Amino acid sequence: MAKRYTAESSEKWGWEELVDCITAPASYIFISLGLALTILLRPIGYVYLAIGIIASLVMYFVIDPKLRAVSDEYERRQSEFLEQVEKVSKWEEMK
Amino acid sequence: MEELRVSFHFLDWFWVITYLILMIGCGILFYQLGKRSEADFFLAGRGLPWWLPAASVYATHTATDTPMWIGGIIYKYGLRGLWYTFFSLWCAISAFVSTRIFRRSLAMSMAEWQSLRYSGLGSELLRGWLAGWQVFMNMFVLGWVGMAMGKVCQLLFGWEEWVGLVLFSSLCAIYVVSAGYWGVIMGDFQQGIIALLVIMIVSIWELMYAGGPGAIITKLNEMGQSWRLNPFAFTGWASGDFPILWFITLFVMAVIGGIGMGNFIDWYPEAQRIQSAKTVRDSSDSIFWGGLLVLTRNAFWAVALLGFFVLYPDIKDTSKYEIGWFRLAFESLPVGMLGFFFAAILAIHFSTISTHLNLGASYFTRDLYHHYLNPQAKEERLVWVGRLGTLVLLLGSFLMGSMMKEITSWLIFALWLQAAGIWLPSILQVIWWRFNAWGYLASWIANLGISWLVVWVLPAFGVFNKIPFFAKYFPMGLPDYIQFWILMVLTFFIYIPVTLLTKPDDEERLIKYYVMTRPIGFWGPIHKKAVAMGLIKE
Repeated sequence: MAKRYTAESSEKWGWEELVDCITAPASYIFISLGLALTILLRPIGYVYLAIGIIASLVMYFVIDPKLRAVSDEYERRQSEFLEQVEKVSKWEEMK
Repeated sequence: MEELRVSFHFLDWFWVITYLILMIGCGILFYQLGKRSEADFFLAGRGLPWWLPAASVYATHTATDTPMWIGGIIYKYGLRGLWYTFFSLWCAISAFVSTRIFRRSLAMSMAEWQSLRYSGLGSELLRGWLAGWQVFMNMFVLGWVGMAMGKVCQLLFGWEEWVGLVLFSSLCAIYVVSAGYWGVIMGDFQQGIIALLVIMIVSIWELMYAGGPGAIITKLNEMGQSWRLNPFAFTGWASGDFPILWFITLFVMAVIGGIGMGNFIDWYPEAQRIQSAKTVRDSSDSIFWGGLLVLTRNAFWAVALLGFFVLYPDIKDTSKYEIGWFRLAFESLPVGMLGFFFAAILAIHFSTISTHLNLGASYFTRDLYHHYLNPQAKEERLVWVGRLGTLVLLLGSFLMGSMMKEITSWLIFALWLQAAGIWLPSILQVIWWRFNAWGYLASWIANLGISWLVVWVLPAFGVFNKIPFFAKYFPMGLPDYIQFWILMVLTFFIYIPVTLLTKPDDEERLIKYYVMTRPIGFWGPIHKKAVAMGLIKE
């Protein structure tokens, strides 16, 4: 699945992030409320919990391939970037 | 309610002492790793798999005062009180937006990020301000959480409050001074597991002690309190103690706030965890799953607190019902388990104390000492300064703890100010290339003045009551969620003109930052220049 992304396409913000911005908060809300109501044996709790788990699975499978691609591309250049950060911190490169 | 006093037996003390040896031993075990460099002492060498910072996110945000806070809101509002805890929704968005951008900046702290995102004098003023603010804030949090431990010890053993504060913060400091962030993260992993298991087991135990789910629901119905089981029991659009407008404000603030950096106080410890993850993907996963674990834990506390309400429904004194979760456990757990439970409270306590000791020391060392006083310092010296900084934080926390009653109301105002007025600028600095250091500085300063006006001065002169809209819908004064919107609008008219009337940040700096972090939003002109320079492909 990770092969869908080229180095440059993985850097662009796209529909994957948009889907996650909906599913990730939904999973937080439904898992938390669902768990509380499930412990109290309320039937609606099971429904909320199921929605929350499905939302987090969707979130994970949508974003993970892209995150892997972003990571791989970025880590190639990380040491060069880190040197730059150290120079700024030591006033060797201040503009 | 009768006064609670518990007596510990041999098995109870065995658990407590075993746990203390385990924690302090952990510090000694990772001493060699912590002393290798500044990056090891504060970020564990930037090489952690996602589940270690995730456990730390969870453990850090499970403090001794957290069950008291959640106890208070659930006792007062029932299950709808859970919405208060959903400000952590920002983690859900941040994990895939601001976490990713911040991790790519490689900034060791949020103060250092100012030097990478902005340029010139403005960026240095921001870095110095944020570093000083964070040293102070971490001291305050240490004092606050330490005093919560003092209260628990007073409840249990009748000790003076300062004893619990000084004793347990000092014991925790032993492994933080020894191993730095390595000790913090390894400790947090153990503490997170212990705390999660004990919170689940004890909460279910308390639920059964109160009669079990069926009996609790029946009793709530008999008491005419069944609304406590409904998380959506709002009291109208703007009326009552749980209005929809409040909910909308919280929701917008939390969800959209996840795009920004530094708009929540929790961002700062999270920023350290983000940078300690070995890859961008690990940092995103750690924030998402750590945040989810925090909300899962709240569900267990909430049901236990409903059980407490059924047993003790008429408590008016906040300080009495806030400690409901602790009280029910100490009342109902058998000998031997009491000590185990107290050891878990120590785990909860140490995880927060260790984080804030190391985090405050990182601003003290990296941003104040290393950046401003001794830029060419060797790694060995920086680690020693880190240790000194940890001790400064520890001593400062004792001072803060002793003044807690006097400064709490002031500090809540200060946090308020941070949340309300810089909320939008903290997003703009991520998404808009033209937003500059002077604009961000102006937002902090504008906040200070306008917060005083909106929260205290104008209400004292009855100004809002003279405005027909406010007089009609909020005759008792403006609630805090309306103040939030007013502050946001008023400060906007200060920092936006300041931004547009001052020069943009240095172009070369912005291009470097853009190429490193690839931020979301309105970065078109910088993107085009980076492409023209051949630094990135179109």
